[in-house]
Amino acid sequence: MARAPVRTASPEAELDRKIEELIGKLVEQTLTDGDEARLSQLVAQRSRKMRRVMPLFPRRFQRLRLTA
Amino acid sequence: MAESETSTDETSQQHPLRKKADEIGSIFAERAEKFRNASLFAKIALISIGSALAAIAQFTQFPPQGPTGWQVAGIGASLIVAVGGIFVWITEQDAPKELSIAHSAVEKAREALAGYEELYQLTDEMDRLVYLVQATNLMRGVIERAAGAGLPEDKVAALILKACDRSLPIAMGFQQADQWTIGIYKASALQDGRHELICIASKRAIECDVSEARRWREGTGIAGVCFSINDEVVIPDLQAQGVRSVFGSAANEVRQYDTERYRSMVAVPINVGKDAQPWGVIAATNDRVDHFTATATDGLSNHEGARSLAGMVALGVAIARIEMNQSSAGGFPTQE
Repeated sequence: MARAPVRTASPEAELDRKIEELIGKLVEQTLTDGDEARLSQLVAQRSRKMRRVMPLFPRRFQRLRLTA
Repeated sequence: MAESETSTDETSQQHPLRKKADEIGSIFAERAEKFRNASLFAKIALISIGSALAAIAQFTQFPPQGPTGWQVAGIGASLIVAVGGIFVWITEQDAPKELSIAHSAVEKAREALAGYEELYQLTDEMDRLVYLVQATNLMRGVIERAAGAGLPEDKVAALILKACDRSLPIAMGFQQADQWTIGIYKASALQDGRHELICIASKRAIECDVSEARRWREGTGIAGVCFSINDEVVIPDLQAQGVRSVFGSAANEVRQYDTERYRSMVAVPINVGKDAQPWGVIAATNDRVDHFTATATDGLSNHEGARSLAGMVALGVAIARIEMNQSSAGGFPTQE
């Protein structure tokens, strides 16, 4: 049975590093439109990583709220 | 002991509607109990005892030659009625009790639903908290990178807002359909010694160039009053009776869309170091009444984001000042 590869860095740390690089470009005022879009995308991904509550609330519950 | 005290506290703090529901529930249970007892009496007295009496009557006064065929049939029929009565008694005696249980089950379901509603609100709050953490991280990143870059205070402040211009509006509870603004106003001294607040950076649902943003003299408008008193000002409804007369000013032009776009507002002073007066003000608006409220509530208020931004801008400005002082004294110390 194949073992899962051991990760030494979390995906969050990787995202943070990429965000930091783009923030550096923002401060140096070398941020292109593409970089800006990439920054938004990375920030959204990072936020989603922190949001772990939503799966507890399935669509069934949301329907229940509408009909209650 | 502690548990019973907590329980008593909870009972005494019950919501009035919950108390009413409990009262109605107990009345319903009491009535169901009375109905059950009456039904039990009817089945025992009227059916079982009645059928028994009928059977006994059949046995009495037999003719000398013995009971007639109809009397035997009557005895049999009485026994059948008695058995039927007992069957009905067994199968139907708990119907009112079952109704009572069903009623309490519905009440429990309603309570569970109310609990889910609270959890749903909590989820929304946690989402905003995540975006606030994210916005704070981004602001910190800008300050760290800006240290040593030789940028002026205004530029640092503008970059701080630019870095979190997507996370901060979500952290402040702004919705897609809302018309909202977040602005950084810097105080600029006038010739008469007073100050004027000038917008140096902003993020808006409907974009507008900062040069078109209105200026506010100290003491006028929400931002001007916030600057003067050096304290937060939170207005749940700008169109409320008396608010306009207190905060409005003829010195500032009134625009046609003001009443529609700006309903709720918060202004937070930006205090740097030991300065007697604020460096500037963070002003945020929303077109929904009560979006910002000064009422003390538990949880994450919508204007926490404005407070974070004010704190981070103050930090950025303080570092920019140190850098400026270092620069005039021979350069900013770096690792290199």
